[in-house]
Amino acid sequence: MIQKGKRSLAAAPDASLSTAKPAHEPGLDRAIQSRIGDNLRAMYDELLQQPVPDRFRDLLGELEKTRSAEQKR
Amino acid sequence: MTPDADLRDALLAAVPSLRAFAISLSGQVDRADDLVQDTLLRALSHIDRFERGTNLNAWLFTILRNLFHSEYRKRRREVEDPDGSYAGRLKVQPEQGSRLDFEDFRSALAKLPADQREALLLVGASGFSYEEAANICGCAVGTIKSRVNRARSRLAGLLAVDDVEDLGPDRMTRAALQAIT
Repeated sequence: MIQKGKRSLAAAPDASLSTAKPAHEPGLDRAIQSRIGDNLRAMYDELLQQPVPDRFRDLLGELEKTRSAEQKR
Repeated sequence: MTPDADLRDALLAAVPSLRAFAISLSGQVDRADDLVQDTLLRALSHIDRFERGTNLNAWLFTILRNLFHSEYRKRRREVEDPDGSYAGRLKVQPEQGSRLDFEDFRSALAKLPADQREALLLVGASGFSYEEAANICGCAVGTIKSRVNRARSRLAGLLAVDDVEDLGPDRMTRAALQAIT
């Protein structure tokens, strides 16, 4: 029932209900750090999977044409 | 295959990671794409300075990063508080299929100082070593390490606070569910 990340916080002392910074428990830190890593990579993967906009293909395609034309001269 | 076709393919292959970095760094897709385009153009006009066989991606990231910062400095002279507007702009990102989790994460990332965000993105997401990241940013390895550490603990603080804020209604829901079953 209880989500993983939240369980450790729910188990933290009452300070968890205030907006103050949570106590730095090693276990909590580790859980949060691995969540940060996961989030960062997941967010990045999503960006990496986006298709390359046409403008970049066009730009590099143009360049190749210009260059090979220059070389033929 | 001509050397130019090789180069074109290598540059094209680098575009997704350059875009991911630029979007995460600037928080704005349009601006990120302009940055990537400027990076490609600059790389092409200075291609003689690139040593073949060395890490093309690292070289391109260096160019992009320098362009970002020179533009950032220019903008800062023009507009007040570029950092404050970052969080707002970050929301314009394409969100198709993305989980709600990212929203929290992106806004936390947006609250980091640019140098910490950059270090974290290079090491934690782009897959560069501390040494490579230091080269890209033109600073000492120790500086990168400390920026990454500060970024991580700042994010931890921000995300933990978010979680705590989430806790209230969540607890009530759970209590309600338990009361029903």
